[in-house]
Amino acid sequence: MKRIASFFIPSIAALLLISACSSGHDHLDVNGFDVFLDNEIVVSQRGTTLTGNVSVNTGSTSPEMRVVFIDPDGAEMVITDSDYRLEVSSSNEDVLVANRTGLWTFTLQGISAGTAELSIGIMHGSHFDFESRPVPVSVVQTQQVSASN
Amino acid sequence: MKTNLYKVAITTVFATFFMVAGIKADGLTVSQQSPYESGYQEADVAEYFLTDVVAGVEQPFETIELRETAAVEQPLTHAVAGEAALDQPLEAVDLRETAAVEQPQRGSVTGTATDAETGAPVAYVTVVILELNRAGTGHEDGSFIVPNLAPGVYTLRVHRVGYAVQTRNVRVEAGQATRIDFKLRPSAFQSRAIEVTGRRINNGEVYTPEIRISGRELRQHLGRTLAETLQNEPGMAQSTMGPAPARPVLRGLSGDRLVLLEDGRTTGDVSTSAPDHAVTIDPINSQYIEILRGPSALIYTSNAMAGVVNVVRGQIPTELPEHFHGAASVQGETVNQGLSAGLATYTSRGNLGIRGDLGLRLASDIQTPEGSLDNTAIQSLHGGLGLSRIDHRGLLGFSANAFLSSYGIPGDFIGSHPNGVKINLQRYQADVRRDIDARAPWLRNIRLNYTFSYYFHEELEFSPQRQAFDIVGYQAELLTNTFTARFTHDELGLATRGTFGVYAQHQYNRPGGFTFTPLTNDLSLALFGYQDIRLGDWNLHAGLRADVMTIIPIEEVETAIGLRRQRTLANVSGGLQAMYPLSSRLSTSISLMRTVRMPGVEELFSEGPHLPAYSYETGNPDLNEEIGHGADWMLRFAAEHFGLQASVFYYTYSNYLYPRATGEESVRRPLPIYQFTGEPARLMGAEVLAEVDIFNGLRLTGTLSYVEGDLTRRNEPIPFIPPLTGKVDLKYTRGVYTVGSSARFASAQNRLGEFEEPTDGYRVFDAFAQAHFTHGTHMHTFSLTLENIADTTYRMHLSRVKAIMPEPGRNIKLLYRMYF
Repeated sequence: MKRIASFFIPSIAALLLISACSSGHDHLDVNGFDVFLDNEIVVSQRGTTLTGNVSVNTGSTSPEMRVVFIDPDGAEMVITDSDYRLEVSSSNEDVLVANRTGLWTFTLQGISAGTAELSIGIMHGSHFDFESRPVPVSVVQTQQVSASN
Repeated sequence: MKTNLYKVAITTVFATFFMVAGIKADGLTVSQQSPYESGYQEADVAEYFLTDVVAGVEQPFETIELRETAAVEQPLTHAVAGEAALDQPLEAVDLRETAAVEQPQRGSVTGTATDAETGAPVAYVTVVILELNRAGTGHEDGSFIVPNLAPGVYTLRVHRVGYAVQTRNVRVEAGQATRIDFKLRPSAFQSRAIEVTGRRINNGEVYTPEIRISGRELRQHLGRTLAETLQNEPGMAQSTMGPAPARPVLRGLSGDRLVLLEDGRTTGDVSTSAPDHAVTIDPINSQYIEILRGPSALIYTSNAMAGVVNVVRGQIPTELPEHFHGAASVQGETVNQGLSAGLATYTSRGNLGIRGDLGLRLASDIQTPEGSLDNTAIQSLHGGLGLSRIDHRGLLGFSANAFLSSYGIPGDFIGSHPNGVKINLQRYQADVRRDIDARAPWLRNIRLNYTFSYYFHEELEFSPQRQAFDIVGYQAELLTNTFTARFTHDELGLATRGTFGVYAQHQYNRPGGFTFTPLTNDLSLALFGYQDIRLGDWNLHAGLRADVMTIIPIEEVETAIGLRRQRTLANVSGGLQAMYPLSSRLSTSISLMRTVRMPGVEELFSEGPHLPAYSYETGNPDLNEEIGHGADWMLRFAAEHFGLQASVFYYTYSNYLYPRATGEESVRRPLPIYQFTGEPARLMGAEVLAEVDIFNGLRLTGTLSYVEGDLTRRNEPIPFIPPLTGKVDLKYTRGVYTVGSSARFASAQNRLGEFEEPTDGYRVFDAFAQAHFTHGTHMHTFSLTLENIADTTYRMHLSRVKAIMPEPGRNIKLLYRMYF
């Protein structure tokens, strides 16, 4: 019996020790975003619905665009934690390259004529907390960046 | 990763140290005999202890001659020696003592049982005198003695799992020992026999597995994964997502419904939760693989409708080998430029048994007839050290092991990540086992087991900007504490043997990465019992199990999927299997089961994208247990040159849990949402296994398996059910050489679940050659396998990447294994 007890006690102690682990891991709860170009919303997502599109000239870089994320209540999210940052990427870097220029700003660079999909997300450390619907981007030969809703 | 390799290196150094220490201690004798020292073990397991077997080959006749002399000159002494060989020792002793005094003119039968192909002794054969209904068990060296027989002609039947039954007549003369030797022919069919005789076989277990793969068969089918190794067994298929994350599927059941064990304990990984999660078992160092079906599976789980797969590595030594021995393996294959190597060694020092093993697997991207399947390379490393203090009272053992793996999931299928996903995983495990040999009929043995396991898994996505896999998609961290206590008995009431036990498990589940699944603590408690009962010609196996499980999220919160809260579920499972011999060659069995599967953390609370599965999975906090009821009928015919086994099964589930597309997309990531739900379901099917000896050494074996599953309320097929599959195997054995060819085939699968793609049928041809040579106390085995000889383009229905790439093309695989 003594032997059995000596076997059980360390096992139960180890079990209780492990059971005590309870640290959590928070995520942002995002319901959408707005992309501003010169204080005008050029792309917007609410829930799963995306509106707007962007076009950019070949061989040129767009003006800086700012992203504001929206919470489930429809309010603008003010993200101050330095663990979070903007992540933008292009589905086809032979056509379009996306570059993050600030904490929540980015530019687009047209490489060749065509279309590509832009992804806008929030990185939390080494993983995403949010990733947008694919934003269609046209790379054209015109001189102006245009936007429409 | 470097840190983890460093940890394994330390483990290996320790193992090497102890092995070297063991070599120095070689030759020490053990003063106390215990059941563990007496060498009770399966014959096939003995492959790993080949030096013992080889020693038996070298001196079998000396042993027999000594016994014959004893039989003639010292009948009483001989009779006592024969006691150990009989199942009914008390009765036998009484008879013999009477015989020695009153009937000195009785005789005996002695002999040996050897493998007809290799000449190696067959340990622990069952010897039956049909006229007297007397049975006994042979010795480890293949010899057997049946003493105290009245003069006359008797029918002697010898059988052993893995060999064809042999029956011969023998004439017993008064005062003489009649010699008869049996050369048993190995039989894949016979290995599937359900045996009810024998004690202390199977590492002291009370059950006999329905399927057991070892020795030559294991070497021939040894694959990159456990699933690939098992895929040719009746009813078995593999679900894959690239070559690494493959999981066995038995009778259409996989995931949590087909429990995978290593040395009888849970793997402590998350392989059941998603098809891209690899199983942390590498078969290269396994001694044998067994599949339990029916009530005996309830010893391990309440959820064993299809069965339990147990891979035996023997990490905690259960015997004291007389000298240093082991097995070393190297395997190479061309289809992925793969190389794997394994080493398992055993030794002892005094009453300390020592075991160490190490395995390595490296492979590049796999080649198919349509090109290379990118991002399918594998790197894995595993190793362990086991120590046991063994004496006449039992054993106290400890083992520690590590498993590290890195592999890829291909991209570009059904909209998955274009560059695929890289997965890194690590598992560290420590076990403590205490066996107490009570030596009472009502309590043979007490076994206590404690296992601690730490598992970490991360899935990395490709960042186009950084051109590297550095975005964490999903992480899983799992701490598992498992405790079991089992009390095993021999004759007790109606039961001839059985076990009772308690099982307790705690898991701390910490998901990470892009997932909103909460941290949870899970507690499980179970009481179980399993009994073998013999009623006349009927053999009954009965099992009963009661389970309670509670899952506690770290915080109770209302979410989009409902209130995440503590869930406590309890239920009872059970099973009864009855076997009846219709004649000496024909037998039948029927099995009835009730199984319970508790919903897992993912099924209750998960919320997050799962890129390799191209889904955003959400749980359902209101789910209840999955209750299954099943019936399984089997008919078996076994003659000397022909065997046939046919089985049919029918399973129903009142609440079959599966992820179902909701038709919605996730806000957080553009992926379709799949939510776990419960539906009534039904699975039914049949399997046939036939074997015929065409002439001496030439054997034809065929298997055929079919299963279909339906969600009965929706009247639609269950997704990912394999089509009709089969295999025909022609093998010729002469001496130490075996050559053969096989054809694997499957029909088209057009019974499709939600969002499934149909798959065409296929026929694929393989060939193999095997040889083994004995040199001193070493045995060298070679196994050459040519898979998909014709480089056929084919797709398996359970492959998740079949849309982008077919199965591997022509492959030449060479395995060298040395037993020393």
